[in-house]
Amino acid sequence: MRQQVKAWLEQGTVNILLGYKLGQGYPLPCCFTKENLDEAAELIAGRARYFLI
Amino acid sequence: MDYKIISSTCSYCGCGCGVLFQVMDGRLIDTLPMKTHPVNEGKLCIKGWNLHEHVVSDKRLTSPMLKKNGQLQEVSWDEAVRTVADRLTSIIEEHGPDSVGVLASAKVTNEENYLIQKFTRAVIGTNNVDHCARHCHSSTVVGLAAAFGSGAMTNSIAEIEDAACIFISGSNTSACHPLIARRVFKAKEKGAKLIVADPRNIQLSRFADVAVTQRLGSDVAMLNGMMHIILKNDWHAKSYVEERCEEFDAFKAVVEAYTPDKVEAITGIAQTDLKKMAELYATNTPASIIYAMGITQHTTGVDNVKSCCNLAMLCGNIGVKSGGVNPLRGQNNVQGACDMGGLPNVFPAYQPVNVKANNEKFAKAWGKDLPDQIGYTITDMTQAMLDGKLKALYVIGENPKMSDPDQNHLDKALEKLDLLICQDIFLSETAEKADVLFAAASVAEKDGTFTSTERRCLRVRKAIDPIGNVLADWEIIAKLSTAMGYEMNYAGPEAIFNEMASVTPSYAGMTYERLGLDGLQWPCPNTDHPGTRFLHKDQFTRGKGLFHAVEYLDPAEMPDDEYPYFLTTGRMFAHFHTGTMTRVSPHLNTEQKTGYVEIHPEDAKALAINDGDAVKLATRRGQIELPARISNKVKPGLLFVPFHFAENSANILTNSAFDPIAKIPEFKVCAVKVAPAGVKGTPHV
Repeated sequence: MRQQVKAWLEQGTVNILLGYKLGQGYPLPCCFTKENLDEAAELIAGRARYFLI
Repeated sequence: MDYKIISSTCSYCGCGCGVLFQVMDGRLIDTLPMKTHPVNEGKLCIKGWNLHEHVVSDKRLTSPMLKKNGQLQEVSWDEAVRTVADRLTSIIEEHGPDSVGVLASAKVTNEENYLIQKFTRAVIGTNNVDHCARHCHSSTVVGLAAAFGSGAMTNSIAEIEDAACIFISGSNTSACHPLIARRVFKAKEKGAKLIVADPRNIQLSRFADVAVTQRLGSDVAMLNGMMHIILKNDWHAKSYVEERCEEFDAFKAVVEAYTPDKVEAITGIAQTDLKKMAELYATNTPASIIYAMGITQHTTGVDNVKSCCNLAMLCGNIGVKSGGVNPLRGQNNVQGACDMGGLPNVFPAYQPVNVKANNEKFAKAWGKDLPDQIGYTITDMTQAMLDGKLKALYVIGENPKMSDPDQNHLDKALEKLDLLICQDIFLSETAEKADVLFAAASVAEKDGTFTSTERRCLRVRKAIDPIGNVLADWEIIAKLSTAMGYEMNYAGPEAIFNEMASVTPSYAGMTYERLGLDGLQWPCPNTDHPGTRFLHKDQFTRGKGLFHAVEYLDPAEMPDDEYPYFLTTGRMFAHFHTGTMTRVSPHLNTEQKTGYVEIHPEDAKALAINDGDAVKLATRRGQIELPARISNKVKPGLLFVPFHFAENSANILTNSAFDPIAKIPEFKVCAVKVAPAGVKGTPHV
């Protein structure tokens, strides 16, 4: 999943991906972008759900 | 698009809810509840959901200001700081350091409160530092410390839902601490018994197994009456009392006189209800006592708190999970402001200023000789201003013109000052009178920590750059201190926190890294310590729990022929304190735009008052005019006014009589008269 998201961002398939990453042990919403590709390695799946914006 | 989420802590009440700020292209656009936070578990109250609205309000102060030709005018930071430094220096040289008073703040961070008291003591050279805890829980600090040895909430918020019995007295929890009320509801779902004692029919009363509306200011009699019944029925925890407590016999002798009929005559509580309260509390353990301003804001505030402690000890409810005596702190960091030494008698962690070893410890840490005389409380400061002893007042994140009792009296005192400095995010009623105004950053524009009501130290994180030409409170204090010749060069809040922790034993094991997203509860004495969920396990902080023999005393002012009604004041659910943050928040302000007085239908009928009509309220201190709200929430003979609204400020009416030990004013009780003002209004829907 992480590699797929990284590839999508890299290739411009998507401009942003709203997902989750761990922040000090807790799943927090994160906006993954091409500008911060390295963050894609921190993408996680879990039960936390936030509605955003 | 630059979109980010920043975790932080809500800056309204003392629950300590975790929030996420949503930031789009550098603008704060929304607030979300943190789903996995140990306190709020993905929930927020109406104020928390709208936390961002006051931050981005166009009413924010955006520049420091100086009063020139009677008008506040924008100036540079250099000019504002230089002016204050010069004028304070001049006042100190002419009148001495004790001619200056500082009000620390329950709204700003621990780091900033630490610097405020350090500045007051090491730079000004006085212990004249106090803050609004004087007006909310000073009686808690005194009462709990006397009985148990530690003046804070004994247990944790999450534990409430596992209590077998919850006794709520003088706390409108669902309106003022909604995320704690949620735990009460969860406890009810699990089968807990609920006792609610409040002079008003608050929302929680509807869910109680027994709910009573005791007469204002009669709490000691009510609690002594409950304990009388518990002792008569042998329901008390005998071995616990014998092994862990002292002075039981003197306490018992006093309680014996509080028979149910005597208590009914004082409190108005039916004897059957009193017996049910006693039985439910004593026979369902662990039992948790929850209280707030209804217990503390009395001339007998310390007695009330000590009586709560007596009841909890009598039934063995201290030092156990889900039990305890749990004062709910009203502001996001009022616990922290006390912990940091924003009080005239103690350094951080309640280390008395007049104990030589403490004084020497802090003098060494700060490189300055420090005063060892206890300073003025807020209550003392008003009189000192009137007496001409206090010449300058530096008010940080407080609005005493609205929050102090007997407002007209305070107005006269403020007029006698040579210098009033205010530091705020809005032009509050007090800030309007300032000679110098420092514009400060809001909760979303800085880093730091708050300590919530359950002693949980939580991180605050910067989400956006400061709006306008404002500075974080810690930066302003550091600039001012440096301008007055005492260099404060901190790299940032974390450096201040680390210095604070090095001199504050209960925080010694905390670091920013360890605080993470869910914080740590003090005491946390070393870096291996997990924090403390409940206090006094196995042994009280003071050794043995101390029973106090407490006799009932009337409030300072009782109704009479001239002022025939009782008046009490408090909060309503959508607003917070003096309204500076919530009345500029559109979603909160729309819930309630004006002040009002609750009056019982029988009283309204007798006075020919219809719902929405303007009425005049008058006490011995002053009068206000506001719309009537006819309501069964109050009993006949009792009026209630929320204190959020400047145009009809409740504190014009309140009594400044105070508890002799804690010096907390009796906001909750005074005598008032009411009459139609001759203006018909629109009924409240």
